[in-house]
Amino acid sequence: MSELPPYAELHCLSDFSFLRGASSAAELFARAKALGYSALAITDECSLAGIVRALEASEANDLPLIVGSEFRFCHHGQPITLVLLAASIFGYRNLSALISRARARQRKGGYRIEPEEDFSEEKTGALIPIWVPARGDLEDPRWREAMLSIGRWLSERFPIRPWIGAELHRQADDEAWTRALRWLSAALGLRIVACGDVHMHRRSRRMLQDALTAIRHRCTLAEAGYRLFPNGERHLRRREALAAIYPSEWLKESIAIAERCRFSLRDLRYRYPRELVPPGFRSADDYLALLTWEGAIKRWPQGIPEAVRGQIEKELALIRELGYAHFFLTVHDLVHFARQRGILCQGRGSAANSAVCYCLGITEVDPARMNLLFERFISRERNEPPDIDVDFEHERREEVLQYAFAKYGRERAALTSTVISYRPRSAVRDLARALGFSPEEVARMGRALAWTLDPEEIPLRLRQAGYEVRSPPLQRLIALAQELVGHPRHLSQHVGGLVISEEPLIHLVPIEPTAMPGRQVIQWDKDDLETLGLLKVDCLALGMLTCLRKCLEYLRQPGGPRPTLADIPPEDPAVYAMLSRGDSVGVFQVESRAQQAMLPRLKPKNFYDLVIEVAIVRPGPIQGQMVHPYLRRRQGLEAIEYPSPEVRKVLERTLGVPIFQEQVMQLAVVAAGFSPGEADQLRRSMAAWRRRGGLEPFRERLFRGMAERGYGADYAERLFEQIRGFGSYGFPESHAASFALLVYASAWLKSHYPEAFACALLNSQPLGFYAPDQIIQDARRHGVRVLPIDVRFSDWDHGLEWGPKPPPASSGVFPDWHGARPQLRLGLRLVKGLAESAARRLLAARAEAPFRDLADLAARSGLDRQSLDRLAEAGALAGLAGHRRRARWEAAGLWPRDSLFATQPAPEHGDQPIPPASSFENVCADYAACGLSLGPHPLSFLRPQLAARRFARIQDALRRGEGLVRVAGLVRLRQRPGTAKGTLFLTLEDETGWLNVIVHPSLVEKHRYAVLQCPLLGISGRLEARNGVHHLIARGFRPLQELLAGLEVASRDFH
Amino acid sequence: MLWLALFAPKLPFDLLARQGHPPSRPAALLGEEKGIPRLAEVNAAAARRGLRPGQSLAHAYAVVPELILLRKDEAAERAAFERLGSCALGFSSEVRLAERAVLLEVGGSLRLFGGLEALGMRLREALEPLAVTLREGVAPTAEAALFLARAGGGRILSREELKASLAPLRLSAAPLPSELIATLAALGLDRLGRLFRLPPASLSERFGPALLAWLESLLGERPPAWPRFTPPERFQAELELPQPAGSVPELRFALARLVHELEACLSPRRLGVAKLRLTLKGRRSFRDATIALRSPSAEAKRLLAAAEAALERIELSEPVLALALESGSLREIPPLQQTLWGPASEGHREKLAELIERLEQRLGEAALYRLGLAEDHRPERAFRRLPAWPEPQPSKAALPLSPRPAWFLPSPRPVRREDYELLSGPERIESGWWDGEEHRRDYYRARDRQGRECWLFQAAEGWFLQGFFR
Repeated sequence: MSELPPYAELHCLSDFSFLRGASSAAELFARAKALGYSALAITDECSLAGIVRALEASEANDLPLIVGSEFRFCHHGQPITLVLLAASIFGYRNLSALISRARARQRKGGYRIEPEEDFSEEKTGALIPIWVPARGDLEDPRWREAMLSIGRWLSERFPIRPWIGAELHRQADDEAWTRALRWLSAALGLRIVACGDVHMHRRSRRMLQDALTAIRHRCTLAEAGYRLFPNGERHLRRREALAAIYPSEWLKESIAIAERCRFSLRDLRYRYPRELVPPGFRSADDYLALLTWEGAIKRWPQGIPEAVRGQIEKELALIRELGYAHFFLTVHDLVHFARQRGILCQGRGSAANSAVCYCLGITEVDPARMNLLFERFISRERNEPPDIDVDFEHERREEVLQYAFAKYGRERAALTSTVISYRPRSAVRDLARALGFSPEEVARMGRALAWTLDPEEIPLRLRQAGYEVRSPPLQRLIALAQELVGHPRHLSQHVGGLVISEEPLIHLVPIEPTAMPGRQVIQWDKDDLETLGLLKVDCLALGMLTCLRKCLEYLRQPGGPRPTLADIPPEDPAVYAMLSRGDSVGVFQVESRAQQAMLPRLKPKNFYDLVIEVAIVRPGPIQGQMVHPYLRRRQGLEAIEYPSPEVRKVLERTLGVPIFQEQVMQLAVVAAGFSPGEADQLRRSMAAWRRRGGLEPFRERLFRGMAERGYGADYAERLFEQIRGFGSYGFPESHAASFALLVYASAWLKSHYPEAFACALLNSQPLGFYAPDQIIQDARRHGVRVLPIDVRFSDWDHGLEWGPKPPPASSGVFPDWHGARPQLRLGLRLVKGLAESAARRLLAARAEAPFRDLADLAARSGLDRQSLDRLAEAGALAGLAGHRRRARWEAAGLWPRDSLFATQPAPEHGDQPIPPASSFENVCADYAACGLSLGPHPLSFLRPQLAARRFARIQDALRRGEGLVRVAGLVRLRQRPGTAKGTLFLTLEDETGWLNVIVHPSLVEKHRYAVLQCPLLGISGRLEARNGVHHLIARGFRPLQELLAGLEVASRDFH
Repeated sequence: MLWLALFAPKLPFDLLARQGHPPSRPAALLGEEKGIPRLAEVNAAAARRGLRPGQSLAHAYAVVPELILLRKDEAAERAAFERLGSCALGFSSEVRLAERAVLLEVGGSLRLFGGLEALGMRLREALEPLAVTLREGVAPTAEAALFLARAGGGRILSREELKASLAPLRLSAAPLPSELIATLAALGLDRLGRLFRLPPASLSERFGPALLAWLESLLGERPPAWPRFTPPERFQAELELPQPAGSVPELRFALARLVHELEACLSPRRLGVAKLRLTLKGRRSFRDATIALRSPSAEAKRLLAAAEAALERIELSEPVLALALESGSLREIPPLQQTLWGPASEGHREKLAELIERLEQRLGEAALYRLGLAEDHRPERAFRRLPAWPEPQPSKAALPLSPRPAWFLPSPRPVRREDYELLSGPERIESGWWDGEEHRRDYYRARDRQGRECWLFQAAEGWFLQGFFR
């Protein structure tokens, strides 16, 4: 009985060969280990995107990983498949560089090899080439000639002698091919190694693999024909099967090759760019310390408090010990650049809200203001980089990124990528297409699965949509879809993780072009970087920062400095009063419907209350366990108790209820005895449960630890449920604190300078929860006077217009508007279909001289017929040409249609009577042209008809208080949060205000059209009030859209 | 001159009903706007459920999950109008086809038919089998008749009344681009009367020549622009079945409809046919039956009897998805004694056609077919049957990757492994799981006791013989 020869698989694709590989690295490694392979190479096509996951799988299964990649290209007219394995770190670098070069030549997603250039001498060292020849006929002299020439060429180019890869998959001509390979080997003097061309871990995956092939070719399985593999042999085969197919020398050769590969990804070293430390400093720590103390002096000009001084020293010592000085310098560099350019930015994250970062100006959260956890800052146990995200103004973030690219060079700076994986909806759609369902069916299924995240729910949703899920075609679809969910689909640009390094990045990881010009990404995502211990800075875009910057700019007094966020006086009671009323349209983070309902219940009175407010309204089952107890305790309706003094320390500031993610971690430490490192593991599992395996492993540990410390089993159960509920939704306290700063700032500006705030908000669209129409309505309700679009006065952006007497100069940084207030002039950007370039021409012409009349405007601004029509429709020409219709008639007559001489007004043929439109028609035209109207609310015209149908005005209904009511209004918002179990929330609007409506799921089904579609809806139901917040619980519906004929008002739908 | 216009407002839904779908089911026509699929038209059942043109497909499905969605089928619409036009030629010598409408000049036929009412009634009777909902408009100009029909129907009988009768009508039904209609509405010019009052020159300057041309055409100051309709030389119609039909009786309804359509198209013109081809279309193959009559006719009863007889002789091998009827050339009645395949046959194609005809008559139609390539790893599916006539397009399918035997057994036969000596293999085929016919087989070339080279395979159920190499 002879033993089976050992085997290492050297040609294997994971699912990171998008739409080719059907198994994940985790599955492949587990299987290879079970089969007794000696090693496994992951050789994705021109990519190392999946290699870190392969490393994790390799370590988890204790099976060596060989790093490589597969390339397919043509040379001398012949197709060539070449697998390159990295034999050493030097080989790895060459491989990474090769992938980057090849991908740079094509647009996103593709690659091209230029054989002469890519395989020149200095680029091929320490790479083990395995050439898999294309099948042909040994008897054909042309084939022999071609193979010999390729083999010779490869042998010349690669310092390590190539191997010939033999791949036998039970095809009819396998015997003949074996003979051909032997001949080739003898003729070229190259050895043969057995390979699998593995595309999946088990044979049973072949159905999915076939489907992926069809998806890749954008055809159905029936049409795919011979593009599919004929059988499922391309899996990790048992060694017995391999021994039956391949000669044993070929199998043993795989071991010989594997032994030559001595490279591990853990060997990669990463260094920071040296530019971070200016010459003259001994070390990064010294430079960091200098900047920190300089900043501290600026922050506390009266002298640094003792406690703070101690804190700074402790933090600097920890930074020095763990070697993170460069990281902080990197963040500081970017923030400093932004500040110099006047770009608003703010750091957030546990490390961001530290004393050092406050001194460096990375954050505005004063450590004295908040009792922050120091251990969370950087944990000694965590062998991990600190976590800092920096928010920049969304309109100017690109400047910061380009600064980094310019300063460090494209070779050394790049963005991280994100892996877009299949979700239930996309999986079902792609598979349904491949299985031959019609496009209408595919659309229908896609609709049924919108917002489904759990693959287990797929059969249920399809059944609800009317499909017979037990039929064989649907069974196939569902089975495949459930398998496909979670597999990668393509790489995409990460929101803004920036990586910079001393050596060229391509020595570490390949770089790919993105769809956006001027950007490039590395092939790894942020979890990959975390695994390998590489650092990145998240540079995120925040619309509210743009809005705040603009608002502050508008408040700059002539000749004075621009006010900064730091100038805003803290703890203004008027601000908290406004928020406690739920009056928060436009305010950062707290303007949504859910937040507006929460504010009057929580009634924030100080800064920390805002921090809690930000974190407390989150999706997820934590609502029940977190929100209600907290509110009850705050209102004194419930006693606050703690099972132990340790728990009290953790939860005291939130009245005994865990609200922040960190608190959950701390509880694990103090109540269950987790070490800080373990607690961190728990946190990462919560956030990335899909990748790191879920929370079950922690459950036992938690229970045991808590039992040991004398906590009851039900408390442990509650805590575990809370942890699960937090999931990836829990808000870290440090983030909440940074956000709370912006909540306060935006609320203060809204409260004191509503005109400037509304103007800034409108000029930073798209942003926030509300459409411009609603922002303007809210502003007008607060007394802001709004002026219509007018070509004589409006700018492209909205602006503030002063009367003849501007306000007096004030002594403070902020202006004094008590005497005179500006008006808000709407800008040309609101006119739908008007190009900015056309508007700019108009403004340029106007700057030279005011317009005499419409003909003059048309002539000097060179606007075309369509732009003029749009302006007329929007009522912007009223000042020059009278009412809307007259303006259009006049505009139309400005030049003959097909004439080249556009500036001659046509000779008038007598007086044409064009009657003016009615008010209602005008309002309709406003909405059509701009999406809003300054005229009377549309419903004010319909009030008589609504009253005849016994619908009350919203204001009247609210005044009457709780009870049964009938109201009607335009539906401006629809929301169906996934966590609300199918309940739908609507917002109705009439000429007197808004009302939130709650619709029970059963009613949604029964009145689909009314609830999901109808723009004007009459609703009868029960009005309830709690803490000053009103809700209508709907009972009956009456669609009224026929009254609207002609009016198009958009609603925002969040389904 | 007096023109009668017949406008088809619900054409796509009429075509749906023609196939046999009940009109109570909500249906909508799919259109597209800037790449997003939207509803272009909806039927009454759909409108009652709240669907409107312009809504997106996704929303429509959210509200009416069981909606039937139609695609614009230009060919079917054109065919339907050709049928309408052919029938109309029995009532007028000048027929024109406009967008979704048939126009007949009936002034010259009034005396023949005994007045407008009588003509209208007889026309409707004749058109009835074609099952298209039509709205009628009558006016002294073709353009005005069309406009009336589009606007909901109506009659204007004399030239003097034309302008006055048109004035109060709204522009929304005009066959003008919708942006132009919207622009005019925005200017308060939503009725024809207001347009008539404006000086023509200023209209054309502001809105282009098309509007003015239309107004002039309405009032008869310009001749109609559509070409005269010439009927096709043969009758050709097809009907898709609402459900695949498994047996011949299920085809009667569709057959009857097609034959009645033929009668509607031909008999008003006193034409008939002597040969018909009935084609049953399945997913993979077609079946034909030829019906020959001794003398040309267009009588539905007679043709239907002959067609049903031919239908009985057909054996269905798979469910029928559609039915097609094609006639030979059209002949005037009374008939002439003549065979359809005339004596002047020249060229290879004619000879081949004759040969096929003769073989079919001798052996039966089912016996004759062509082979075509199909790309499929499963050997039995790597080819398909095509009808003998007409000649198919050259196939783009590739040849199988490995050699295949020339002769296949009709279905694999179980055999004993001992009776064979294996020569080479295995060639493993695992494919076809997606349509329910999965193959998991290992194929071998083998020699049998008689020395023949065969193709065997081993599956889970045992060993089988698939075919022979020589």
